[in-house]
Amino acid sequence: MTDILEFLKNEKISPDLIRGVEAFRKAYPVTGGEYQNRVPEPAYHYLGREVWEKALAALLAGKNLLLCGPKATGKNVLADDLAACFMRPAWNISFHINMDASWLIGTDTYDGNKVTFRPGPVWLCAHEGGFGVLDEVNMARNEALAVLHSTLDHRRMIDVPGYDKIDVHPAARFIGTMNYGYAGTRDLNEALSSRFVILSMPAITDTDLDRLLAERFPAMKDKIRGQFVKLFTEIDKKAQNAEVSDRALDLRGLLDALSLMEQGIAAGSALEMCVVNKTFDAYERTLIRDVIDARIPQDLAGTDIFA
Amino acid sequence: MIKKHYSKASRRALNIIWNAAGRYDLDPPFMAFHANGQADDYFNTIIGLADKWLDLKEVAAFFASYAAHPKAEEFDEFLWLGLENHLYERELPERPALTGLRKKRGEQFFLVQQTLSEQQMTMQSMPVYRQQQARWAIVTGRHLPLLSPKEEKMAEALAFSGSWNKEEVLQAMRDFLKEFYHYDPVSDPRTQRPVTGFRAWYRKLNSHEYKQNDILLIRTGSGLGDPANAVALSWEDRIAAPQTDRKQEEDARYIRDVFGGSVLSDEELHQAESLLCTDNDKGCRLWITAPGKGRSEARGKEPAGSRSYRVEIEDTRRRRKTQEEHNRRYLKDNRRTVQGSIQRLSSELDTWLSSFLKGMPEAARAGALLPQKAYRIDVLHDPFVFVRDGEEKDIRLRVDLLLDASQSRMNSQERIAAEAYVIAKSLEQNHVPVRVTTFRSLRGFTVLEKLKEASDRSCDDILRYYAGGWNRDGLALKCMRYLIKEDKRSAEDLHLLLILTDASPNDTVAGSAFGKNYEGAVAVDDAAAAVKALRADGIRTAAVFHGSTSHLENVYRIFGKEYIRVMSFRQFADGVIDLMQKVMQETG
Repeated sequence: MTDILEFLKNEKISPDLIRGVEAFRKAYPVTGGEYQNRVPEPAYHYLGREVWEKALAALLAGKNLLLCGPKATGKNVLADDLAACFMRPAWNISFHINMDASWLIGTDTYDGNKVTFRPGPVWLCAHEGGFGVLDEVNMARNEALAVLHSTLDHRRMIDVPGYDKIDVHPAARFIGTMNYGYAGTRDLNEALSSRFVILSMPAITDTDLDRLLAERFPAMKDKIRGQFVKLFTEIDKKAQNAEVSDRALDLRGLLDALSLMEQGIAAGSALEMCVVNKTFDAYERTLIRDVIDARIPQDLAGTDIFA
Repeated sequence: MIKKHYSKASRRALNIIWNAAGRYDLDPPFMAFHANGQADDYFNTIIGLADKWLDLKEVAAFFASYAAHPKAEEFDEFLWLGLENHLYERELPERPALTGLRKKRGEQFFLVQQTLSEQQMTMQSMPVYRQQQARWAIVTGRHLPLLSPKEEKMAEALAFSGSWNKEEVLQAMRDFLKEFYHYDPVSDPRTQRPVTGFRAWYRKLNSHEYKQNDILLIRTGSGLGDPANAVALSWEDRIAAPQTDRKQEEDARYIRDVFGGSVLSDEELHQAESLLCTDNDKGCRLWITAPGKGRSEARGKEPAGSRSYRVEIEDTRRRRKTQEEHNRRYLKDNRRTVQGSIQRLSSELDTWLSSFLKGMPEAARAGALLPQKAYRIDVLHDPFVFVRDGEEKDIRLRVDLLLDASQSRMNSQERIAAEAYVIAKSLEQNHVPVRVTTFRSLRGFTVLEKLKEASDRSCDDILRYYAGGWNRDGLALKCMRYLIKEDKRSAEDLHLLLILTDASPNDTVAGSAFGKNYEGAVAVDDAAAAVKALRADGIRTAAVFHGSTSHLENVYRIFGKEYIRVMSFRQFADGVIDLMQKVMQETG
């Protein structure tokens, strides 16, 4: 994998922003140690110049970022890419309904001799100057998130009752991701959302998806690649029009299916396993199958797809 | 406004068309189905492509232009063969998979032909059949059938080229009819005349493959099970007839004998009646009962009265018992679906309820230190001196399930009982108190029967559900409002009232001060007013609708957008959770 900065240059990202990232890296080098392995090494990169530029500008300005968008828009890919780009250790924190302040910041525990503080991921991230990826941030209750307010706003500090107050490391950034549509999600309250710069993630364009597939599967024949791109677009359209849920609209699923085809599984079976079966409703599966059948022959073999 | 509702097969056909057309705002004038009613994936794709590459409206207008011709059906089939070739060739570069689909369609043609009886074969148009045979033989790589010179010319003329534009395609359609049938729709005076009456009916009846939307609507109507849901009074006809001339005492005795004693005392009943039986419900009576829990339980006791009366009561009781057995058998026969639905609904509810319910604190090894307990570490070596949010939930949501138990539900009794069972069981598994009540009207009495109290953990008694009588929805809803307000423990309680209904209220007792029957708009408006009052009291009210399409307007008028229409039991769990989320979030 080439250095991500090379990738950004190829994407024609503003040179000023790239220089900003280089300066950031110089100012806050990762000198190894126990958190070195937390610096992500993404397998593939987010495609979309405009989004990249907005995200880089926000982070360079010291802001925290909230990536909002429907499924398959690359929120997590971008979050990982950003941590890799700034070469900072990342803490991925998956939010859930039972998340509370102690889970995020830390909790008391007994180490056999005395009561001690066991730091949570937000505390560690703030302390070490990492990038905290708050995944599906709107899955947690708003009251549980209130504890993040002072961390995310101009105060940039965490005060742990009964222990010490720490200042958030100047290199630390928090990147939230959220999807309004998932079951169990809710609106983020104003107090929290105002502490983020909010970036609305657009759906991947056909051109970018084509590039992504070409990057991931260089041996794939151009003509066939186009069919898979159109297939994804058609499922997307069906989900947007609420004819099917967005369960089957799964970019990861499509990539997985292609990986299986590369291993010799027929297209029909691979798409069934990785795309169709993502939805559990029999009728919905029929509709997805119809879309696939109109694009990709069931018995298309790996040798037909890859050169 | 009544929304269009389609059967599953039609919806699938539409989806295929939309997908091929690349837009979802299209209301196609054609849909294609196989003889078994399944959507024809290839020809629906072709219809979608007709919108993409040609102007579907203009194509439809051309088809409509010869609708009055006796051979219109035959023309349709020829011209669609022509369009098929054009659209296939035109789309192929963009969609190579079309070759496979086309071949599959060709194979299906020959497969179906093998299974046709001689009689069915003779009903087909031979010229059309020959052309289809020729087309699909080429597509599937079979030997071409022996064609006459005219048939060969026809086949050639129907091979519309993919390189033509819209005008050329329409011209080719016109030329085909002129050349082989000496017919020009433009100069035909019949085209000015709409197709109506017997001819229109005949055309619908005989259409094989391409069905216009009006046929679809007919198919859809019957596909929803309207006949099964039609109001047809049967075994209770005798007791459901207008009661105004009967003595009230006699009626009350009958109601007591059939349903058991009321859970309210006479005085309480009187109070409730004077409060609720006003305006449209003036002159109505109430009876609130719970199987096995009435104050003066009559069930099981020998009813007093004439022999024929006793026989009638015993007969009713026996029928109820039989229905209960049917419900249990249905649950047993569908246990996989039922268990699956309970599991799905429970887990969805679990996630969703967590956002409403707070975890109770519990002692733990880690969490927030409780200073007053800190000594226990050293003295008792007890590490549980911390607290954290525990699993126990502080339940604040209460649910009431109200089942329409009128005669119109007769053909859906087992399914309704099973659905109520699934909802109640799923809520119980999440520790949400749920009460299940049925309502029906008989002899001027609106009878509410509590099948399950909120305090009962078992949902078994829900299977005692049976249908019979009329339904005075407005009064039943007013009564539920009264009961909920009586039971409400604190103002902070969230209360949800879910009604399983066919949105078709009607009763034998008049429905307004002017003596109009309690049916139609009067009854619907009355029910809508009752729902409005419930909502004004903070009781979130929504409906699970499985009535006929003709009552869709009613359900919308009564419940607004807060309803779901459940078409199949399998989709039931998803529908209910969506509805509950919608109601709790939007009206909250």
